[in-house]
Amino acid sequence: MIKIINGFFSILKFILLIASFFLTFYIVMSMYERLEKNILDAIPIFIPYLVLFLLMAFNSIFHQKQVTGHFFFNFTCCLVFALFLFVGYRALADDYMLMRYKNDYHISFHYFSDMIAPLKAMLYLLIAGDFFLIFTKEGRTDAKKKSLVKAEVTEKEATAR
Amino acid sequence: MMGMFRQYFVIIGNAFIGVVFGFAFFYLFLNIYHYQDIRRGSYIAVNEDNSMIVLDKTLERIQANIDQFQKDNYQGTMDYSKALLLNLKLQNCVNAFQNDTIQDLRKKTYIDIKDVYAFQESYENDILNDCIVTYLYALSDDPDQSFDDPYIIENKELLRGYMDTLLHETSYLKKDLYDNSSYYFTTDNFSLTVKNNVKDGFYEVLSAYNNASKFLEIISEWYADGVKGGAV
Repeated sequence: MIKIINGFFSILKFILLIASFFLTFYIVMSMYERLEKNILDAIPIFIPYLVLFLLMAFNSIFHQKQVTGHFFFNFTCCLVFALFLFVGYRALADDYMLMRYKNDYHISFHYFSDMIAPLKAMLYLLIAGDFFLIFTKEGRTDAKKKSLVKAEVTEKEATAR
Repeated sequence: MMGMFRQYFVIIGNAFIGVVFGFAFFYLFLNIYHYQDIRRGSYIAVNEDNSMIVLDKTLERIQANIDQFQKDNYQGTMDYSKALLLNLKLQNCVNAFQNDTIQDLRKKTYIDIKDVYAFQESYENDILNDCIVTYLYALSDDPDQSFDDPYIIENKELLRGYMDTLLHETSYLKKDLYDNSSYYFTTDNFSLTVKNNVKDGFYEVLSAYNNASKFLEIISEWYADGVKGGAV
């Protein structure tokens, strides 16, 4: 059961990552357009997305089960991207955020810019977490040793019976 | 040796993810709570409210004063073309008081922050901009004295003072209402201030509507006297 749920979250995190990236991209572009700022200045906002996407793709392609099979990591990723989407929804479509009516922008830019700092911090921490988990992969010798120990234990159990 | 490092990496990696998990839950619930919090309003039966009834009665009296002007059988002391012009202005003002926002509010028994904001906007746009400034401000600020009317000339300063009061009456409210647009309220006191502005703000704007209607009534009474041939 846990494997099925984990598989669901590991696929969902990719979908949510892509959705939240495009939502952030749209809001940030609108924000920079309004301020007439150079769009190239917005690149640092998207770097953590790109790095996390590359790391997650690397994990999937090279079957790094210590990360892809890590339920807590997958669930946290989904939670963070769900937060991104909720924040994006509030910035774009929450009618009760009165600031969005000011000057007829219809996007709560200041609310989004309030949230972007903690969201970016979360992305960087996820990158760090993923990065450390990659190095927890067991080497071939360790795996051999473990399988030998397991075999010995089962043998001993069999003889004891 | 590598095994030991691996154990450390597991702990550090999980610690990072744990921190993110905590923050994400914190911000998500904070946002969800705030999302619900700003939707709370107050029960006010708008159409049955005393101030609304007073406003309706005032508008009825203004309409009766405007109707004193008879196009086909005009016998008033005021110049006909001026009377006709002022009639149109006053009629437009009365129509401005029956704007879409107030009509929507009349159907409601529950007022939230969005309604109060729309009500304040309608006061600024329909009453102040369309009625007071566009049609009536000229009465108190007319260098040519085109109305050449003793009432207007004598009461010019008073009218201007009244209008200036109306223009600034609810401007503070909009700024206060904008304070709801963050992801949380910093203190409970601050949250209460914003929520109190919903109920108080509604009555504040309604009272501003009433004050503007009283002003319009004064003008309409002077107008009625002028167009029915009484003392101007």
